Amino acid sequence: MAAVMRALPTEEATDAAIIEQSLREPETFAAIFDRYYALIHGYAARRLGASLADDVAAETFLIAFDGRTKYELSRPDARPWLYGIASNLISRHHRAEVRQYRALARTGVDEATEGHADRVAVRLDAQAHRGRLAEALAEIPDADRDVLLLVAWAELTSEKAGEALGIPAGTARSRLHRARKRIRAALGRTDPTTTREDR
Amino acid sequence: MDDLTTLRDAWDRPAPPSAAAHAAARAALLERASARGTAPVARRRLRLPRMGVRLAAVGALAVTIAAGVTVVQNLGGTDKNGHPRPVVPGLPGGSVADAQTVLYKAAERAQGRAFTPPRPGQWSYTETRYTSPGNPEIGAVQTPQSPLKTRVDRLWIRSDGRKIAFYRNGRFTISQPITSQTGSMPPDGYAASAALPRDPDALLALVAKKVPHATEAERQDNTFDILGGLLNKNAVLPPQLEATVYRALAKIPDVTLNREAVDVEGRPALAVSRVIEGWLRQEILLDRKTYALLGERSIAVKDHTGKGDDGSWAIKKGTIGVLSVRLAAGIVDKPGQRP
Repeated sequence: MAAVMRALPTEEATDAAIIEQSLREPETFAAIFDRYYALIHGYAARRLGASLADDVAAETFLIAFDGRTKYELSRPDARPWLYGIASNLISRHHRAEVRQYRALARTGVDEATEGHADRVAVRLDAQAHRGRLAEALAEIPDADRDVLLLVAWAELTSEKAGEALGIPAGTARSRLHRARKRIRAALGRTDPTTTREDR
Repeated sequence: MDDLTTLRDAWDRPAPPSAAAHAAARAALLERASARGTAPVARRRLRLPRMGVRLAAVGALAVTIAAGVTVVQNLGGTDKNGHPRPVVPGLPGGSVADAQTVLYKAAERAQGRAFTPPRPGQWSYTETRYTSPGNPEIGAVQTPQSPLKTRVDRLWIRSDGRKIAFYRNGRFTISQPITSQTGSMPPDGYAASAALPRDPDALLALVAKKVPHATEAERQDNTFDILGGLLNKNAVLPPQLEATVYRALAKIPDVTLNREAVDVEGRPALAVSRVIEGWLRQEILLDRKTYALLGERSIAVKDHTGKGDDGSWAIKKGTIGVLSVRLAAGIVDKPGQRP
């Protein structure tokens, strides 16, 4: 077993196995970076824009590396842990985040995360939604928004989102519930139909 | 439609991280893992020498261009008669009010200029000569006597910003279609540039949001730099936008004027400048009569030591950072054509 663990992590190795190996061989932790850097960067970029995302994503992995000795090795998937670290870093920028949502609510154009060229293909209905959604996101309390976006954008379950944020599953569920009520209200208020063209 | 799905679909999939950010982040992690580095996290940011800053800020397209230009190794320390090329003399700083007057005048002139917007599928062409000692190597000391290299960039950018063309090693090259850009600033291509706000405050706010900055001074530095880049990078801008750029420049603190400047060709120029990072004067050169953009110039106004992750370099007072001269600019139908 020891011999197997000393081998370089393979595609199939669980995150937990890699992290365990990194306790003895720190450089192994690069495999965690290689798996999830783009994912964490993308999540941060949606919430903060590309330039702050560079810092947040880089720092997430440094903090994760320093904290790997405390990683719960019974959890094979490291994503909730990484998203939790990133969420904490993002919360330091919550004013920038809210500002971005407000700008987006005004213009319907996402200035922060994308080049203009990419938006040519964006459907008008999505843009229409986006302004209203951004407005709601700006108003949702930070703690609730963390859970909501981990579920909607990072695609975690509410239980995993709770794990990521270090809060009980019940708390995560109720925060999600509150946030979704705001989102639904924002969509329902001015949106006569939910019919959309499929991609 | 489920509200969570709507929320997911309403935002575009984020553009992938830039290769530079990825590499810097991975290197920082490996450095930490190899236990060589003990510097605190926040100080681990990659510091580029000033010339590199705009490249870092403007994204992949600019990096492609920088890598692809024809580099003419013309050690330009002397003029064509063999006399040492005079280093740009230290310029007296004019008053801020003067600079604003000139910038407002430039805005007025820009608005009055005849203008035909490029059609979709047309290309913006700029031909620019850069003269510079280059990015300093680790351990290097640059002085006013350091040899200068000259290169001429011939650059075509399609209106939609998705294709560029340039000369590389004397060979004409057209890029593969450029897909996603991480919201580069200045934007790539006429279409994206033309979409910028026409209100000076809105433009300043947008630039500030796009460009990372740690301090207020750095924000102003970067904003000045980026607005200069916006003028320099585009063969044409909508007159109203070009005017907005000048009006936005006028709102940046500590922008001063020198009426007696000359560009590298010896043409008389108005220089609107800001001292960046406390040591490098960055100038935008405008024609004294028409207020058209002539080029840009930067020069160290005091001794400076730069620090990177792996060492430092020194730049002595009076050293030129970069001189750029716009040789030609216009709209053409095909890459490779000149206006």
